Amino acid sequence: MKNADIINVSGHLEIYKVYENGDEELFFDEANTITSGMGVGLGLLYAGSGADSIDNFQIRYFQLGVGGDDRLESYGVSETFLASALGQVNGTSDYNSSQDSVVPIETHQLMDWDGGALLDSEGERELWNFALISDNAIKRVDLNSVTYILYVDRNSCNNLTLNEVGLFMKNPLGNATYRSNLVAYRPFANVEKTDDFSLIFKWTLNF
Amino acid sequence: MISGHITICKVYSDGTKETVLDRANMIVAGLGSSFLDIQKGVGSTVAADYAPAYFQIGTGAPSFNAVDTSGFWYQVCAPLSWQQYGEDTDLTITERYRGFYASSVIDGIYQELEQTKAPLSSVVFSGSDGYFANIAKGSVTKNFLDSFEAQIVLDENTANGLALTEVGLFAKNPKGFYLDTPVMMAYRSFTALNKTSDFSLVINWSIGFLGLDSNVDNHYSTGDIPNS
Repeated sequence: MKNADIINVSGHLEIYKVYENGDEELFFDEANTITSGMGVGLGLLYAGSGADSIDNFQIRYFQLGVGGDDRLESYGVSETFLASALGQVNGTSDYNSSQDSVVPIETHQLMDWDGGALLDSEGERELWNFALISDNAIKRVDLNSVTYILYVDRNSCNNLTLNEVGLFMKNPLGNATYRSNLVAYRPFANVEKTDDFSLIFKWTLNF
Repeated sequence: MISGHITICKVYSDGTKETVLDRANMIVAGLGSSFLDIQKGVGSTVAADYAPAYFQIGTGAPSFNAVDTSGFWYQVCAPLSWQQYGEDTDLTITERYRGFYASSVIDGIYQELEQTKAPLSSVVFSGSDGYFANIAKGSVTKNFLDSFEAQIVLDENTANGLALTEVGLFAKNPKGFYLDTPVMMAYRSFTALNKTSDFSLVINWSIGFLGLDSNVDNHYSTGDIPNS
């Protein structure tokens, strides 16, 4: 007897521009890549060798970046970081481009492929900026599907050309300083972010 | 993407070893739904409750066409009874409440979901009693960063005289109930294997992102990864 041997963990990403008058524009609607970091988190969980507290295995952060155009044709399951994540040079002001920005940012470590802490592009800091995904932005849509709604308001990430996004598990190693790992990734067509619109990412993962 | 691989070996008392199965297995929906319970914060708050802690051996086979299976499958078809494991078995056998998802969407009758999905609003978590063999904590480990491995041993005094045809791996208690309520994570049926006292059966199970990332797969972790 032959049994089906996989759960095809898949993801789907929709990106909307939402204008102040309520108009919505869907400008991206495609599958994404679940990265091997998801397997790292699951392996740590099921082998009992990671964090004790279960909330450390939740997907609670995202990053936006400006280097995804280099990866559009070549990205894959092995990605462990965004090509050029926001905040490495200018800090939180990349996300919170105005004092009215409502994207909550936390700063902690990013897990490299071997479990270590990855240095940023400056090669000096192990600390990266992560945008927090709130409880009410996580929707169970099916027994085996969940949707994350990432909200980038009109006052955030402005005057940047956004083209990549990633989801991160909170801290599967259970380190005192959080070390998040990339679990899903997608480069997308350039978006010149302005204060004319908000961005909403609807990211669905199916198990 | 998340895949499983299982090997079953006969190991004789003189040390000789014979591999009788070396195939993929079926990863079932309970693994994914338990992980999504974590994401929503509705399951157990203890990480160990999601790890494999029990298994069942059986003598049945699913009636569905397993080639087309969706993985919505929560049970070993004919699990061994307490007596069938054998009086002198080295295994610790415990009675537990097997967890599964049930719905009345099929023919209007409330029943365990088998090979079918149902709308989330119509699904409830339920269970039934059964006998489970414990997996020792040290028998679950990691050889690669993005997978885990579990080893099950049926010693020479276990399940003798039976034609074994299926095995299921169960998470400990992902719903976090007062008593362990195991939920199936992976399943494999196989050609009947007549167990005798001449040999032990060693079952090795690997589950994860197997062979997808050469970076990670080339990094043998021996259970540890950098922690500082």
